[in-house]
Amino acid sequence: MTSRKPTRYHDAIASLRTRTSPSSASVRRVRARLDRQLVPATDLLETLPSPSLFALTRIRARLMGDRRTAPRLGWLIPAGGLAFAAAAFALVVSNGPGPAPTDPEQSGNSTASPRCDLSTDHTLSVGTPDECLPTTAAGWLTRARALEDRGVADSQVLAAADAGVALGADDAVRSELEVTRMGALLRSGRAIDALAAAEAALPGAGPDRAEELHRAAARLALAAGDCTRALPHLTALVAPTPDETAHADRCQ
Amino acid sequence: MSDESELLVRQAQRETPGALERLCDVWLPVVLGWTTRLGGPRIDPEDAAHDVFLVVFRRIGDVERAEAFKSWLFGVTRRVIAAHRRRAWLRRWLPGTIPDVATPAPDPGRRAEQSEVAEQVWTALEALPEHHREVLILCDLEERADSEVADLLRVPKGTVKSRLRRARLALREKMGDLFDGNGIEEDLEAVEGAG
Repeated sequence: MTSRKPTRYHDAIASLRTRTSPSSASVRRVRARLDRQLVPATDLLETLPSPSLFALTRIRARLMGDRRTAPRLGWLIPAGGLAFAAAAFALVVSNGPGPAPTDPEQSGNSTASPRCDLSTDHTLSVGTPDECLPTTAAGWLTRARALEDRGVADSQVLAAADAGVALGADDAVRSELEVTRMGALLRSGRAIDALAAAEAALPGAGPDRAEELHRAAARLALAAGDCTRALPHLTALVAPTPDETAHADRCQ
Repeated sequence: MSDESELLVRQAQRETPGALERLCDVWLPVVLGWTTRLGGPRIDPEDAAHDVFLVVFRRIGDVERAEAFKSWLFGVTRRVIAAHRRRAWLRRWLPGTIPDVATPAPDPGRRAEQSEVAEQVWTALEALPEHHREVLILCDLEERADSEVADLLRVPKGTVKSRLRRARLALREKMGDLFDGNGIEEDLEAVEGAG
């Protein structure tokens, strides 16, 4: 450590206060990213289909926006299909016959939490909270990641990822579901289960992801004292570190 | 919380055009401060602040009392930071998966010595338990009143005071060499007297 003048408490705190004060440039960067999420409801209404399409009582929610977090407003649209939801706002414009509203004040607004899946129609009522659960493995993957981002219990993240795996998926989606499972399992202290998830994620993983997974699996196996299980992962590494090479030599 | 913020929360809940944008203008700098200080050097505070507002956009309707928006927002920020810190932990397991997050660019005019002290205090803060770190950051770094911090953390004011005292002592312990022989006891007493 370099020598420096001792500091009084309030000086040290003031120094950190200055160091960690957000700059105006930083605020602007985040604001610019958020602006892309802030789609005025009036703009959305302009994109609504013609009023005649709303003369149905059983309708489905279509959710718009970022697949990862689905934060944008969506609206109810007959036969529109449910794209996904971890949870999203649905702008309920009508649940019965009649013209579509022309401004946001005339429309209901609800959080879509539904049990509306693609197999059955589901009516969302104006102003009634509801939740949309995913119906595809990719949807469950998105939900699991959104739950993870929201900081919910790892058991819930795991349950979402498990639901996606149970549905079956193509290799890439299944691989990412296993990666999500691995993270939740690691955080839950279930290292051996995490190792199994890492290995299950390998088929279907792209080259970069595979490198990460082999590295994680090797570390987990080594941490469990299982050289035999670590070895194939260590030898599969395209760019092993000196430590990993040494472990591979030791495990041979 | 200001009347303007309360009004904006109510307007945002009614989807008044522009209300969310204005709420974002008012609270983004505050949230960015929280994500920087509470998130510590290993997370990207901009990413975390962005994620906090995604939750705000999605969940603003959940705020039951507009005047409680600040403590609700702080709760959201805490949860988002916790998720980002967990991911930072995962990054240590999986080197190379995600580029290490750069800490905010230093102000060119800042003196090197101050910066070094700040880094050391930050490192020491990171080593404190979360409940100590939070109260110390809110009370001492952000200079918020005990009552306001009690609202944010949703704990009694007495708990804030006792946590703050323990947090300061713990920080002193961690930073002993930095403070040695420079009146830390008196300094702490003065700070506590003022608080």
